Amino acid sequence: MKLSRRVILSAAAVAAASVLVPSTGAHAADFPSKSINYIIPFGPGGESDITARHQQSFAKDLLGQDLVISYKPGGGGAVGWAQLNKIKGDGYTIMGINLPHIIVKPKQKNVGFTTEDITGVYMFHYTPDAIVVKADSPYKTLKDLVDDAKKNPGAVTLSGSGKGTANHLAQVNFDKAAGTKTTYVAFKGTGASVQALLGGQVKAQWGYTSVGAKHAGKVRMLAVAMDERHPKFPDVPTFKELGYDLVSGAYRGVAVPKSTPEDVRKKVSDAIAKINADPEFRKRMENDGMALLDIDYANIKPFIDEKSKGYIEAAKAGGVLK
Amino acid sequence: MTNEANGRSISTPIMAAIFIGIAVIVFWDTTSYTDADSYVFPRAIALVMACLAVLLIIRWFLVPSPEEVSFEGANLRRLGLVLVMLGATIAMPWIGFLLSGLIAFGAILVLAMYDPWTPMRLIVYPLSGAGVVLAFYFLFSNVLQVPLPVGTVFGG
Amino acid sequence: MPIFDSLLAAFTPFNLMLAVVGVVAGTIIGSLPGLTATMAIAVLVPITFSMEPASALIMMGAIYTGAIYGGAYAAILLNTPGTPSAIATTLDGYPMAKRGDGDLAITLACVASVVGGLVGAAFLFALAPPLADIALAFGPVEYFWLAIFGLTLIAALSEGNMVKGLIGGCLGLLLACVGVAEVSADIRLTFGSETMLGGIEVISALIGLYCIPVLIDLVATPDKHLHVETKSGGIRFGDAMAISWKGKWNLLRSSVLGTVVGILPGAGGSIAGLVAYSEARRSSKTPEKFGTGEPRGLQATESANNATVGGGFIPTLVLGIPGTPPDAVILGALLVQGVKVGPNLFQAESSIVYTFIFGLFLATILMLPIGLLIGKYAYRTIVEIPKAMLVPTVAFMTLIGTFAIRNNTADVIIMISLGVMGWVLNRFGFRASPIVLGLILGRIAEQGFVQGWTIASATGNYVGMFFGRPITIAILCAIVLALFGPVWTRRMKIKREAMANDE
Repeated sequence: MKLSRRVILSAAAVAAASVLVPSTGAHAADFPSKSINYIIPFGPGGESDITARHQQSFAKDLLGQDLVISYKPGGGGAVGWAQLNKIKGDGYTIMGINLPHIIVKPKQKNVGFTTEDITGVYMFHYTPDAIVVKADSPYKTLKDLVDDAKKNPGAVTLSGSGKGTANHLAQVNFDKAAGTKTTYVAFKGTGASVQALLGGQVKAQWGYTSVGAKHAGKVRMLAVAMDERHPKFPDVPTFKELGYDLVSGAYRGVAVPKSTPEDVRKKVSDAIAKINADPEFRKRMENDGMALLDIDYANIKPFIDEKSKGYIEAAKAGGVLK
Repeated sequence: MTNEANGRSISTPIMAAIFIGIAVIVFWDTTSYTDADSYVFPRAIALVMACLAVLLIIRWFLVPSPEEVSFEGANLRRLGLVLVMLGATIAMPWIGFLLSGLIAFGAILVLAMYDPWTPMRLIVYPLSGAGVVLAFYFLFSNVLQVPLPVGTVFGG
Repeated sequence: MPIFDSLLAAFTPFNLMLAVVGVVAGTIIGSLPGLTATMAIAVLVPITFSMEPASALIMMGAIYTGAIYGGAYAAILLNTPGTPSAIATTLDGYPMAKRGDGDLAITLACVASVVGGLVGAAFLFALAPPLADIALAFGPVEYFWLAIFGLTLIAALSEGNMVKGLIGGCLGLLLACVGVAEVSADIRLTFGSETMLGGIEVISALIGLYCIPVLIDLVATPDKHLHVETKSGGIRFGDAMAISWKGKWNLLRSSVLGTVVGILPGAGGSIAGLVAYSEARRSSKTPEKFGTGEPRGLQATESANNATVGGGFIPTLVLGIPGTPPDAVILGALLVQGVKVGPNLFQAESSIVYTFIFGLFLATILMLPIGLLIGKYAYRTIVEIPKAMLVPTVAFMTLIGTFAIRNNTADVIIMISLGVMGWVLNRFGFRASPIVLGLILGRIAEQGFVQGWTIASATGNYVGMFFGRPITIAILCAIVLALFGPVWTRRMKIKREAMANDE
């Protein structure tokens, strides 16, 4: 019975260890007084994870507490969001949210949550959509691509991440604005879509500014869907400058369970704002190609409502919604 | 399960019918999709599966092969194992992972026990079992930071 | 000599310790069904923020290597692939364990993993930038045909009844569709259930389809789990080395195949193992022995899946496109640290990458003693533990492990349900392996097909797209060989024997 004795000993050690670890007080007046669980409804390694990791690396210094990241992937985020309101609403469990995901998915079928069920408290950045081509592409400017697409309707292929996503809806909106017909090829995630671009499987990509940052030298961006040029890419024009009214991307923020009291919601919003205000954090995010946003709790509802209209219209035009 | 009259096991056509049924359900589900990219693949596979199931029936008619399907062994213990595992999973969000894990471990221990319960075993098995459960619980929740359910019944 | 500096940097006491700790932790994590390298690495990411990038890489690489090997234990001893990479390991590993050669199987797996790991790391060291182009040469259509090539294994795995095997494969392909479609936008086959929304996660399906039937049958009889006639120490190094030397070409070929599949983003260790297994079986003179406890099958998968570690780092570090899920996490950690990946990472002045590669070599070599030691205890535990304790322990591990994959009880319910389904189907002659093959390859096949079709529709050249590209033709040849090769060699053999009789 050598084995069971070892097992008993280890159990005793476990019990001893759990007594020795001091439990943190949950009722302190100032927030946060203990570490915050930060649930990402996607798998590790994706852009939602990486941006959360950036926040995590600043949390300890700025908030005095750790952000503990865990994952609840599945259903393109839907599995996590469907369970958001079942969590205790004390501000110590927060969840990442993404637009257009939380707007488009619930409109398709029952996915266990509606857009209104999600209590967003802060949108902290977006990754702007961009048309990306290989460094040696014959398309030197956006005009080259538009001309080609007008001459050969449907023959210009663009890869992108998924359908009903920021990339796809940007493609739908751009085709409408430019009066072109292009072929959108959906891949699983941005990595696979870049792979298709670099491998020459498609002529261009509906990607993000983060693609331009990560694959600098191998790719060029023809235009970015921002209000103003991205500080990291001063030479890349915006769609607006070129005459297409397109400002879009993958928006990311933080939500809390519905049961969270108003004052705690505000405090979570303030905590995220504090990280967002850090110059070093901003620099790192911009270096990765992100664009920072500061939509706090007071402004988030009108922001999401306004975005919803455009997304739903585009999703209908793109055949994602009936 | 064996139909003695013609020497053929009737389990084959029953299974084939089930697979055809699955194919029909899949086909019906695909009619609700909005995107053409979504239904091409499942429809094609459902069709292939239905054809294969028909082939299975045809072969069963032509080549009589007495396939014995046996369910030997302690079937009640089998059923018990599955029910305990399912029950523990469903109870997890309410009573917490630790408690449901301990109960499941104890119940399966009894189900899997074929040796006589000596006083020694009566003490050592449950204790070391609790040790295993506690050790894994600690490893997962504290070292690997898996958010195991803590349960809502006891105030969570 | 900058390379020499990198070598020294890899062997600092601190890095050495990280490699040892990483391999031990990885092997244990990999051996527990449900715990994956991805998860273990993700947990460690915050720790790496305060480390040198090269040290962080060494530790993460060591865990990754260990975890892929650790997956073999549960595959051999419990018929449960601890990681998807070990699926094909069960095919011959478990039959070996059942007949009393579990110790030999574990030793063989360790040697094969070390060989595969070293070959993969060698390619990463010497040829990473040019090899990264392989990842780019593979378009959607190539992935589609690669998945079909993997599906040809169904023919080998269906044990006499091909139609039933194919039906099982179709069932697996349909199971792969459940949930929110990864590429197109629809929600499929969930029937309004929130449990099904996340789809069928591959690892929970593996645990369900392979491990639950074993448990269900274990409680039904008083027989011991594994039959062991002679008392052994748990490792049989001499025998294993002799068999490994005899199968050295198989090991090398499988390692190279594993490296190449590892380079393909999205393919990963499971497909590498299956492709290598398929090739080993095809080129064998006795293909009928595969699936009944043939050491060569085990060697092929275990060397190939460890070779994917080095292979997967090639696109990750050269192109910034992660080769496998653990690579994605490692890449993310590097990005947060401010390391820019790209071909210039491989220029001599940048020492990080070479320090890391030497660390990977080190970790792989360390795996031999560490792996054998842990394997010895794993084997002894499974053999000696009384059945009444083994069943609840394994059952509890499947519960906690399946939950941990996506932190969701829905996956646990799906796991148990699939297990019951697998057990029942097995009674009626439908084996688990074709279902699993369909499930794993279904997503790759569907996406490749839809993407290929969409691109072809832009040019109008459907035939050229699906049958005209050079790599496509090569894979098509491999498919034909895999399907008809064994039949042809058997026919030739009969003919030759007939001729010999005539003379």
